[in-house]
Amino acid sequence: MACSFTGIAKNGPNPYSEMFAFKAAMKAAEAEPVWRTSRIIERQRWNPYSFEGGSTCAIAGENFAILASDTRLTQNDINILTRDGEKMHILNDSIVLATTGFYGDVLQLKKVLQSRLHKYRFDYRSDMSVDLCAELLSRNLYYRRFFPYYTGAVLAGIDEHGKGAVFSYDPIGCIERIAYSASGNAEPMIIPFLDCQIGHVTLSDEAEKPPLTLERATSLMKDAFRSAAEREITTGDKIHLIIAEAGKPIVQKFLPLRED
Amino acid sequence: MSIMSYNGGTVLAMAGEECVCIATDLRFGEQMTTVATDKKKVHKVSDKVYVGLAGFSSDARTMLEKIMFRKNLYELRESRKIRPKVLGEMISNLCYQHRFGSYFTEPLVAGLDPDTHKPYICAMDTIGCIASPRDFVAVGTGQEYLLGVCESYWRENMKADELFEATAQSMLSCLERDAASGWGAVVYTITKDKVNVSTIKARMD
Repeated sequence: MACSFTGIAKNGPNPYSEMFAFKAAMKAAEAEPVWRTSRIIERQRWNPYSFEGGSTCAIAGENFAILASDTRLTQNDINILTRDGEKMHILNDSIVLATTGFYGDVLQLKKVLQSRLHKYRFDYRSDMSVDLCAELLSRNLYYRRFFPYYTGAVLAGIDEHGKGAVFSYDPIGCIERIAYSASGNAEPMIIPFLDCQIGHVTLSDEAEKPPLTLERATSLMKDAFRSAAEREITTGDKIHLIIAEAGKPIVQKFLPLRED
Repeated sequence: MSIMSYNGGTVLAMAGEECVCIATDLRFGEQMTTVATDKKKVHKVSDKVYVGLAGFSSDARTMLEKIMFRKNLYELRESRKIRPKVLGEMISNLCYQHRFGSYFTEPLVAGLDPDTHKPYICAMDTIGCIASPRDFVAVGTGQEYLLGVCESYWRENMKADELFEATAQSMLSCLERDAASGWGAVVYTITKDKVNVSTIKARMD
């Protein structure tokens, strides 16, 4: 091989060829180092989702529904983004949406529901009932089956018969009407507690079971969040409490929770 | 599925006033299949010292044999009963000796000091990092479920019967939601006079 423009003897080996080869190898190694396996390269790709942590919980009673969530938003489970981020949204006089997961999707989902409710009000001259809204939410979630809203939604409110209603969802719209529900990072901590206190699953059939009054539900909710905040680092700062009672306006409260 | 949840199983220990409770579920599975329904994960090591081994069952068994060997050697050499704190430390050392090829089991120790009757509970990870809080510890597949309920049910200075109730209710609530544990539970209530063993029925599925 010869190099015509360098003025170096044409019949020897090219003195630059080694350097070119080295440079090329260096470039290749920088682009794809040998220690970066395909799995790691896969992991470093951009992720359209992020998770802001926190938890929500809802309990349905005979004539009331009560929801609670914490108000902490976190980044990477450690950095606190804000201490008063709201995970619950009052959609109308009888429907409240509580969501955890990807906060961007939470806000978008809220916006979608609000605009659909607005249109319903314009078309039918009345507010949507919680049962209808529950179905609407389920369909909206399933509409995005292959690029889901990454949210654990809980929809609660007072239904047409004046009874408390709680609906629980998975990210792609699987829906269930249940007596109590929780979602978010502290879900595995809150749910067994409510199983025991409201579902009475650990009591024998003969045992006396206390009725679920609004006062009892409220204090159970506080207990659940205080014990969850004790162990779960993305849950904390404040309890946001929303109480919907049949025939009464929705009440909101903020209670202190541990801030560390 | 992680090797730690291959067999399933949960162990919980709670401390009270001069008493401790240690509870185990009874399921032994292979991933989604239940293989046996009478597998205790809690073992008696000394009179008032019990050890729970959650995680991969084969490793738990090997670990138990190693623990018994070391504990017997200790008691022979010292000609006295082992204290729970010493046993915890011993198991931690055993775990850390296998730092770069660890046994896939999380040990838990609960017991009373043979002389002072002071309760001692501790849990550790697979490589022996001890956590010894004053209230309760849980290991196994139902750990998260337990920590939530225990936080609500634990009170300071509980007597043996209260402590049993708190432990049993926490365990039952956990078994309700953890599919990898279940088929009833056994609760050992260790007091200075006696050890009470009660088998409780839970969701049998």
